[in-house]
Amino acid sequence: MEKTKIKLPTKDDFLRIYKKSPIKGVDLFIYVMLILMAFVFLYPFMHMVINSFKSYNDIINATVKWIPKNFTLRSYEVAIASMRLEHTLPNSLIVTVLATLGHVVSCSYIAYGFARYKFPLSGVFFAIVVLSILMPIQVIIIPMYITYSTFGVLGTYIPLIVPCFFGFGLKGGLFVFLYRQYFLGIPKSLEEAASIDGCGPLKTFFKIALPSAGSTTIVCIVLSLVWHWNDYYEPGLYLKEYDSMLLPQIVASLKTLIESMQSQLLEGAGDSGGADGTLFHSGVVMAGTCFSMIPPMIAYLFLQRKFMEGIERSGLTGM
Amino acid sequence: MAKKLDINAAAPKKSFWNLKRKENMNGYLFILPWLIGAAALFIFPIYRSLEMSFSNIINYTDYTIEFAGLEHYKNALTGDTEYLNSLFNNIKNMLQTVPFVNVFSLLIAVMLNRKFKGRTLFRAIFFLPVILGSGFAMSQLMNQGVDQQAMETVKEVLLPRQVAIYLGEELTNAISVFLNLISTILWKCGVPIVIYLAGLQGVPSSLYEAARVDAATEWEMFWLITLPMITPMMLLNMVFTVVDSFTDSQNWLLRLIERTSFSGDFEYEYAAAMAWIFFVWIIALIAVIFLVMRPFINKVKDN
Repeated sequence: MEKTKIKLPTKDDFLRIYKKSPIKGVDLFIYVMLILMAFVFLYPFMHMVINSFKSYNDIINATVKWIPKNFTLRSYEVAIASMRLEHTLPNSLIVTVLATLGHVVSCSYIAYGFARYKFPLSGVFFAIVVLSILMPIQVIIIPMYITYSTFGVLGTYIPLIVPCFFGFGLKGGLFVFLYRQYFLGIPKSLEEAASIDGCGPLKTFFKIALPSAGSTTIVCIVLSLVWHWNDYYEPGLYLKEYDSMLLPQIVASLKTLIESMQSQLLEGAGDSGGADGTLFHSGVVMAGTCFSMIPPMIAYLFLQRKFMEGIERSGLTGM
Repeated sequence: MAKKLDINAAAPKKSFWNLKRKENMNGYLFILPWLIGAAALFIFPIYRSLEMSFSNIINYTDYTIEFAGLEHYKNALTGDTEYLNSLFNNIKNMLQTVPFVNVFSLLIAVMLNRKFKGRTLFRAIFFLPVILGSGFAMSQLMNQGVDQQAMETVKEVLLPRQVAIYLGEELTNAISVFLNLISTILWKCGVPIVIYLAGLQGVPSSLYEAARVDAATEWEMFWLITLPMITPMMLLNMVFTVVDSFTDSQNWLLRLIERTSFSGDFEYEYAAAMAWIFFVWIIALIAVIFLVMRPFINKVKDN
């Protein structure tokens, strides 16, 4: 009789379980909160990756949420076949790498001038740097567009790359700011010693100041790479030809691209993606995006630890 | 010996390049690329854009303009309901998000700053939106409300159905509205979290040790040490949140400006005026943030 009686867990039972668990008190609370928030952060990515492996029928079927009934790579096939990767991938790589290089070289150089020298109007100029961070690109994009079109560089990568070599471009002012904070924070004595030994200002910068800014450089490289890779606002204005487009633009125009080469794509495979014979559905966009996110993911995985260290050590703390 | 004499002989010679001038020259040498860039890519476009916003373009091939006064500004602020609506929505959104983003990213940063297992993994996760979130498809997903779906699941964990029934409909609804708001806010926390983390790392541990000797609780230490020490980060983060909202694809105001300028009628002048009004609002907001934050920041420096 006693054995069949359902034993409700008492307060002591909970206490015993709690005492046995390796995580206690505030830590337990923090883990629960962090896991919940991490879930909210990760959800769209999981949604995207899973949908990219779903067939069209699974996507429109609301009961198929997490595990696709028909695991298929068809979306990837369609996306990769229509994204003109032989053009867009090198295009994106060249623009991103050159623009990032421009940012690192020019912004560190300019910031060194702002951090180490006081000259007439330097305060005003630095105020303009800050203003360039605060200014939405939409305010000045029209005159810039007109200028680029009068110089005949629309459709080339010059409007995307060249401004980066002058401390402007995509959030260039922010990188000048970051480098300046770093250079202000390091002691002057090393550079003074170098100049006593006969090192000119340029040589001091390239041989001593810039190499010591490794952590800030990592931060700038990661942010610049990622922002340039993902950007589609400015490229969308300047590049209109499919062959000169960058990856995010191509993903944005997948629908028209796929519709234009439908017959070509249908030739190879027997099954069609959509219910009404169309190949385009949201899964294809997801697949295209997943594909285009592989390079920044790889870059971030390699640079992640150094990036976090860099943020901690960068001039931000010394504000 | 002879060399030493030479140096001494050269010293009194008055050259145009005295030390001060040389220093100035070096400074200009370093910022020369920026000066060129600023003139061509910033000052000139600003001038043209301002000029355009006060005039009408007569000829679209060489962009000859005719002064029109405040016409476009007047049209935007009095006649255009779509613009006014987006502007007010934008103001409302910013006033909502800026404080919330700051509170949440500070909370997460404080949690991530404690020593526990898996801390690196969590940091990587919370920075993920910065790496991937600015892309095209991600903004599409957010527009479709995928982030809201995530919140539904979280709601079920935090608030099981039995509890929800017990609490009553009104309270449950209020909670779900709040949770939906959080989900859009959490997504803007990537960079602010990292900035706060950097700030927290910069607080000298001797302060905490001293407080612990005086038997301060964690709670007291947060309010009396951590918070005052990271007010500069708070200011930076508030400005960043405001600036970050320009690149947000959900910013309808910027979309409207873009639509007016680059599709349809190519109303460059009108779009320029709309953009300038928006910019004035942003600068005003940032100025208010600075004014409000200033006393707190000075206080820390005095101590």
